[in-house]
Amino acid sequence: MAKKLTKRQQKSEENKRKIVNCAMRLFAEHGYDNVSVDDIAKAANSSKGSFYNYFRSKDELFVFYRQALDAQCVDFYEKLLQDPAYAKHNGLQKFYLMSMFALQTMSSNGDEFARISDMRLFKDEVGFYVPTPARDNYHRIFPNLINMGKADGSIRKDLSTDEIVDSLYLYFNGIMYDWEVSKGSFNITEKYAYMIEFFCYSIAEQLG
Amino acid sequence: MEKQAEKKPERSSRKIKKILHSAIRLFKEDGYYNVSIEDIVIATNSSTGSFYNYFGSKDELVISYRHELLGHCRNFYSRLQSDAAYADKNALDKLQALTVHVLKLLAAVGEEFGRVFTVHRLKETNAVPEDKPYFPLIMELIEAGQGDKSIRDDYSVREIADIVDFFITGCHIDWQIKRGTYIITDKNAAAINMLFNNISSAAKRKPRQMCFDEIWADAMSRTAQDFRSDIKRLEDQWLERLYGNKPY
Repeated sequence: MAKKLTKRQQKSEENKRKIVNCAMRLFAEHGYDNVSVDDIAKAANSSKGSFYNYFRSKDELFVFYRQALDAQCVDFYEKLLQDPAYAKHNGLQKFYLMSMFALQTMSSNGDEFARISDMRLFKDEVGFYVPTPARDNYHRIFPNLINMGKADGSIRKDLSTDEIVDSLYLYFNGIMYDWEVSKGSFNITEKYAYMIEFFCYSIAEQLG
Repeated sequence: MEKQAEKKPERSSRKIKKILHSAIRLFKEDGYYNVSIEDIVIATNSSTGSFYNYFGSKDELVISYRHELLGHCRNFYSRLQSDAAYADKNALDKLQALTVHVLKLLAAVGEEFGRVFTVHRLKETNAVPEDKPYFPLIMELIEAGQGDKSIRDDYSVREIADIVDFFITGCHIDWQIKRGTYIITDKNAAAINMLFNNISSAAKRKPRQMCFDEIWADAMSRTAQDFRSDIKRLEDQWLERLYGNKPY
């Protein structure tokens, strides 16, 4: 549960949120590299000092936003498990929904956002993703859903759960990268949808 | 007069090759980022002007080198078509062999050079086009496979080609993210088998209708509803997650 915040804290949170929103808008409009901390502070009617009060760098702000997206995926996962609306779906269907939601979340902020996200993985200074609670949860999602599908007979038991997850990530990363470097030249949701359907059929237990 | 005109491009192509291969050797020895254009110029006994005559930047050297190596997939493709060893193989088997070969070529470019190329593509607004000489070959084999009934025909040639292409890219990207710490074809052996079992015409029989389209549309409208009806709560949660704990 959210702690009660004092008025001053509330104001500070609001300011921080404004900074993040302005930054994300500027990144999308002008490209991440062309936006400075100064630009962000100006757009948010704030000061450089205030920015550094919240974030040590542009990069750190970005990571925070990215983590919020991971958290959104975990939210959806919890809905899949608990919301009665999804109770009638089997494990495979839930796996499908989750894969689609993950792509939707990552692509809905535009190819520039996704591009910066990936860029971080290739730059030497940053390297691997730093594990965070949100990411750890995120990585449990797909294995859990697959095991659920194996238990209810919708997903093949002769494929190991790790194999399926690893495979999914390959397709996911492949399509995201192609989409980013082509500056969003194709409809990613459409292509991903048939690819994931194709994939889901390949891990489906053959029923009747 | 004519003779000279013939000789000149030959000489410059030799020069290009010399610069390229010396530079690649230097990169491999000292690391791409530690080698300057000046180092390359000294090693090849040429001048900065002459370097920029042939190459626009250091990146371009790596791009040319990658292009040269990936071009070998065409030789492999010809071998698939003519070599006696593949005579009794169907198009599906050939496609799998080609895919594995392409993955090996991408790995042969090297982890650092691969990353230089990837970063270039991600970073530069005027990046060179993605270099996929294997894509048309994949299309051809899928078409042949739908002809000889080894590849399923309930998806179009282009759809299957895209899936194979995204798979190859995904393998390569993951390998780079992990800094080339595994052998690309070994680590992904299971995924490769899964892919080709699924492309095979034997996989055409679809399992029980899963209604994927419908449940996705339903989930989306539900999510939109959730956001509308409970936007305040979600926003609070989002805020708490985003800003709840002080940075690091």
